[in-house]
Amino acid sequence: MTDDPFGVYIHIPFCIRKCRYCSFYSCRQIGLIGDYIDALESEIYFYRDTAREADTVYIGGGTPSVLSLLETERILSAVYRFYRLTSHPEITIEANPRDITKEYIHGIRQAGVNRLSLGIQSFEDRELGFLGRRHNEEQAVRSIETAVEAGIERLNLDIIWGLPGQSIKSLLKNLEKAVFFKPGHISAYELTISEGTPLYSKLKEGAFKSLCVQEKSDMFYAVSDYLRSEGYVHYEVSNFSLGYKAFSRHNSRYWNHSPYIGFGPSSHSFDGNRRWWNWPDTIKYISEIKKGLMPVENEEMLSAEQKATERLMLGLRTSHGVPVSDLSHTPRNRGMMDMLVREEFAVIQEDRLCPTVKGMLVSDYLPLLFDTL
Amino acid sequence: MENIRNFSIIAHIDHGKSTLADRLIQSDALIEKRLLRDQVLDNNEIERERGITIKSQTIALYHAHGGDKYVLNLIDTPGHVDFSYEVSRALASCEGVLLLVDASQGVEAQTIATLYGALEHNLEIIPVINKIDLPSANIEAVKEQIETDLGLDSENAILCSAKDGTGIDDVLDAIVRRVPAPVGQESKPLTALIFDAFYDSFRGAVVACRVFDGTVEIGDKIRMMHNKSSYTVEELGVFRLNKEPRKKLSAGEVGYIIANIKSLSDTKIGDTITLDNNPADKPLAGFKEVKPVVFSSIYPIEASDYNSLSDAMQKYVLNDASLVYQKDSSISLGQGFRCGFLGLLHMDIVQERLEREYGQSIILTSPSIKYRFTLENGEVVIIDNPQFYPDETKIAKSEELYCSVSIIIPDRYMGKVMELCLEHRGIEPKFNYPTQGRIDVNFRMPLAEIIYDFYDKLKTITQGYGSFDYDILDYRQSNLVKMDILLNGEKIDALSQIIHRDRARARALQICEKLKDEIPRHLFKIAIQGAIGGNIIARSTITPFRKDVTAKCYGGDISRKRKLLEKQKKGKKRMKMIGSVSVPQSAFVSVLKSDND
Repeated sequence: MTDDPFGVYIHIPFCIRKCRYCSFYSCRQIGLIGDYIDALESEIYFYRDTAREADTVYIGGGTPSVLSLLETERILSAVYRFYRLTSHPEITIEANPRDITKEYIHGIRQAGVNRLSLGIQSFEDRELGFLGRRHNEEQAVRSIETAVEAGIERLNLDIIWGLPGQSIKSLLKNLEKAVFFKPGHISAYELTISEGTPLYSKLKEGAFKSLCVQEKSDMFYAVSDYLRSEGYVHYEVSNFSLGYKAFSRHNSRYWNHSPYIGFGPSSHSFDGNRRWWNWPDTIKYISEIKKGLMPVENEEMLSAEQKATERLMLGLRTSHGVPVSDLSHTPRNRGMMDMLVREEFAVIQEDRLCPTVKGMLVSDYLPLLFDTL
Repeated sequence: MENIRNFSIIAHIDHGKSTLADRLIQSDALIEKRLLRDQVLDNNEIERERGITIKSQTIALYHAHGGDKYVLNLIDTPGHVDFSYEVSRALASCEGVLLLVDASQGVEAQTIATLYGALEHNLEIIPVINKIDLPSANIEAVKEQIETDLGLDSENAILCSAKDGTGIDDVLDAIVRRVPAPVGQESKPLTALIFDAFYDSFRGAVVACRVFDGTVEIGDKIRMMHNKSSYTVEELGVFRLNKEPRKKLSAGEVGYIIANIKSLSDTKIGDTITLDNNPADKPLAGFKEVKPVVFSSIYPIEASDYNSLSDAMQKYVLNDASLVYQKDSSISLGQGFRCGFLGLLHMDIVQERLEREYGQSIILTSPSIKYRFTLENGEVVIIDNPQFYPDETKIAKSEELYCSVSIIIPDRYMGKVMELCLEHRGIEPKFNYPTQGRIDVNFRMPLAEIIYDFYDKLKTITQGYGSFDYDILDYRQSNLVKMDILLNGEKIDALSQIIHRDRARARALQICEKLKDEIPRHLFKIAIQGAIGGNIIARSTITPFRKDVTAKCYGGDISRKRKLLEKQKKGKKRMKMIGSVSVPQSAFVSVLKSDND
């Protein structure tokens, strides 16, 4: 266990409708919300000694904005009651553009939320339809305007690119619309069609064709080039921020190997040595907690080697990279670092091996090049 | 002695040799049926997969015929040219052979070479037409082939189906009636021919032999006439499904001897065993020192596995005396072993057995034969390892081994075989006509030309009817070069080879293309080059990949992603680093494999 401040993640599994590409755990049983919040409060209380101090809180989903303001407040006050927050905590909530009203923004700000992450995904109705989102272009634009007018301090917009048939031109048009509002943070994800999702079935049926690797690579560069030209820092494979202060502090924990604790079904936790995760089943989650049991599905203790592998794998997703000293212990690793620098996959900055944009595009492969420990 | 029959079975792959052997064994009422497993004789996993017998097995069968009891010794033989010497010793231990032919496939005379061997030993040959139960069986056509292709009398061919048991009694009868009883004298000094040997981890080498004259008993001091070593017999006996001890072995009999012989390398196939205190005047004819022909180095994929490989090699040679090895080292591959093999098949088998039975992950370097170089200063060096290729500028003369090649074929393949031989630098052709319709083609050819895929090619163009044998003659002047393969400018030691200048470019191109297929794409462009000295003679390129990334990696993705990475890393362990290029083991293997074009 560590004395470092933790990140707190709270999963709100409920969705009005599941998006067609979504592979996260979610459910539609909104009738369970009352019981669910009771359970969450208990779980938050369970772990009061594991993580005394919290630096970031992130309410994600599912769709956290299906909760009423009162329900949201209840959850956050449980966090405040049992955990000491550092002086300037980052408190984020994810929301569906359709759920954004002036009142909602005021309410969550009152509850302490200082960062809003809007699931815009696209500004084009056709694309939104394909993705199975329940908002349209007009609602997307209005939600941003409302949030900005209501004075939300920090804003993230989620964008998905690489849709079948999409061109770089139409992709950039989407991004321009997002950039117009100068959000502090943009997450631009390549569309991933995972097994078990409705889009996956459609793809297998041959209803559409995915873009080829070449097209996707070109898009990755186009997104990065454009956003960087607009002043954004490309600090993680899919994440961009206006300056370093606008990083998602919570999400950076995952990439920096910092501890976090996750509440709710399917949530994952990490204390620096151990990873554990909850059942991905809301009903089971509630009933286990009612029985006074931990809703944990499984856990693993990380060996030193596994930790090193994770640090490498995660660090090499970010522009911050990994310390050269973590790798320089073998000649092979030193040779690989030279190769990466020579081939412009990485640069050495302040004694760290930092992937370039070209390097981020192969960041799943980079850790394979090195011997850990 | 008149009730002993020593015989062997000659057959093409798949013509049912193992099934027939099983039937013959089953006919012996005294053999416990529960001990029988399918295909008793081919008991090595690799042998079964390849359908060839590498190590011969022997079994004594008891058979009643006309009120008399007979011992039928079935001596099994290996089926590949790499092992032709072992075959010849097994045949030398017999008086007759069953020539097995598939009734629907007909004569597919890969068998022919062995058949000619059998004829050399003046053995009684009994044609057996098997699989007559098949709807596609064409007995008359097969009989005709036996007459025309093999030059044998088909009148007395036996019809059988080893599968359903038809005709097995006829086979047994024929063995008794037609295979001559051994001739020999118990009163003469002992001569016993070693035709096989295998290793028992408790008893040391177990020698399989055929006694020609005299008698050997427990406690006798025996002498290996060629090896000039003596041992005291601890146990002897006959081969049943297991070894069955006896008190003595006498003239005409086939059996085994255990005499505290530490390793298989102390026994030589073809050697003659005699008694120390009453030795024979001279050993039995036909002994040949089996010498390795093909050389290659074995390296562990992970340098740290050297000790484990070293242990495995030590254990392996206990079982395979024909493998010789010594330490070797290379810049890119670390420490390993230089090995001598009987041929490429033998090399293949050693590799597979080291991997499967001894759990080693290994790389074999390009096989080489011996080359002789005379240097400017008059010094003569013989080299079997490209690593030691002399300084090009100091070579006055380079020579390679030539052999005399004998190919026996039905005359209809004459044209194609001539072409093949000439393509393989054959010279001084001679022709003999041993029987009607058959030609014995003789060429002088460089050993390097026949060692790789010549036999495979010959089998292909003659549809299996070509028999092939060769004898190494001597060195002849040649135009040799050392060819290197480079990956991004880095030499792959393992793939360097000494080769005739005219062959270098084609071979280099072939290797470049194979490596291109086998080496996965990397982050950077990989140039594969073949070179003679600084001169690039072949080239191919592997383009880099651009994208390998998952868009999202948050709390819930990390464990899964790490596990995937751990798995991929394990796969990468089986790769060898050449500079910054990871080369899979399969790439090295594919280069060694001959092209099937």
